[in-house]
Amino acid sequence: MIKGLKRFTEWLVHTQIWSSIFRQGWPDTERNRILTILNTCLFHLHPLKVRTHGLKVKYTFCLGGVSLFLFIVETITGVLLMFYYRPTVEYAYQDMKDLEFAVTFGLFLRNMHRWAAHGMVLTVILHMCRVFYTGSYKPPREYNWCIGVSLLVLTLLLSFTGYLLPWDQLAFWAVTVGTNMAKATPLMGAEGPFHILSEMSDMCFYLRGSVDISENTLLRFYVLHCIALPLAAVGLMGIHFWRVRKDGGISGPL
Amino acid sequence: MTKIGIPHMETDNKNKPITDIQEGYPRRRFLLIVGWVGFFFFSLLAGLLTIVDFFKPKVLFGPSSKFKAGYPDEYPAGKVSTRWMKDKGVWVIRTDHGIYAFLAICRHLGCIPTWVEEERLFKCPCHGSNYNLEGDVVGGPAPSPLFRVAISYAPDGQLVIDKSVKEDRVGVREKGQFFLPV
Repeated sequence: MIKGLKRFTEWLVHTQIWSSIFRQGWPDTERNRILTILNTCLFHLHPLKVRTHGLKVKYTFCLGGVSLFLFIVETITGVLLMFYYRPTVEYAYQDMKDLEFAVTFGLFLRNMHRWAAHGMVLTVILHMCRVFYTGSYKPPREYNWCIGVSLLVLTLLLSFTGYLLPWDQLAFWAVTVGTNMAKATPLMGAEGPFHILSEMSDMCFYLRGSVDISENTLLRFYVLHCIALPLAAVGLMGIHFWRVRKDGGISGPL
Repeated sequence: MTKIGIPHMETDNKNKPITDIQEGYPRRRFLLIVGWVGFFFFSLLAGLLTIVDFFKPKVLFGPSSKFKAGYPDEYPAGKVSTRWMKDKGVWVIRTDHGIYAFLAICRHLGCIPTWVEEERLFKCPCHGSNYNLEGDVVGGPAPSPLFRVAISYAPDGQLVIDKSVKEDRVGVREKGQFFLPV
């Protein structure tokens, strides 16, 4: 049985398909295992070797991993929701309702997207707490801590921009209140301290693309939510994971 | 071989080949640095402003901020009219002396207050800000009074309300374009 399996893998790694995709043999020797990590595009972000303490669930609670998992869930469900959602004043609310009542698995997709979003905010914050309490922000990991803070901000912005898209009363007023706060920005807000800009050119106007929440706002938030912020998040996550490896793997217990 | 240099300095550096402009010509070096720093500074500034300007919409689609609100006789004295509340978000108030209009946006966080006839107050449902007939805050968290908006006559004698012109300062809000004597 084992002999047969060995013969099979021996044959497999010598096929042209295998050797064109993977440039090393079956990962059963030290050399091939290292090469597997180094040669694979996604694995090369991962540390070459993980120390035993890194496997202890109670040290990391896998909070960063769970955050990544939830981000992937958000991406997949989000792309599927985009097939049935039009970001216009005329259709947005109706499409959201259609997703709930008419689209196959639409309600499930929408709820999954919503709960994964809530979960991601939670796990990202808890991840930051874990990193703080284990002192993992200390040198040489200061830079990665800063990248992490940016990712937290991006997570919150993704949540905020996504909140407007159902275009119901809750969404409308939550974003009205949320963007009104930008008016209180010093200098840049129309009603903030030392304000120099008018209502037609302050921070709030740039956020909304109009004086009040309008079609412009909906489109702006849609593009930010579906394109700009996820792209920024993916880019920063790449650097974040790669830096974990470069900074010597995850921090160890004291 | 052509010599590079300023005539009066040639005597000082006669026997020295001029290779490094940084050593012999501090003024040139200064101008070089100022030039390049200035060039990059203004290029970056122009680029940045262009990007900022891109995100500012040049045309706004939506209802005009100005609208005709009927004839003054349609508003009985001493009453707060909620006629334009649903469509335009404006209250029109007629006193014995004239007409003025409030923007129906709570100054706390931007919700829509409602006019409560029994209490003679504008009350916001979100966080309980109350405003009296002058628009002044008489309760709740709102930091400033309601905005009054510009009101005038159209040539046909109808009222014209312009929501883009607003005022909340005591002493300014009761006169001029914010109050229409009848």
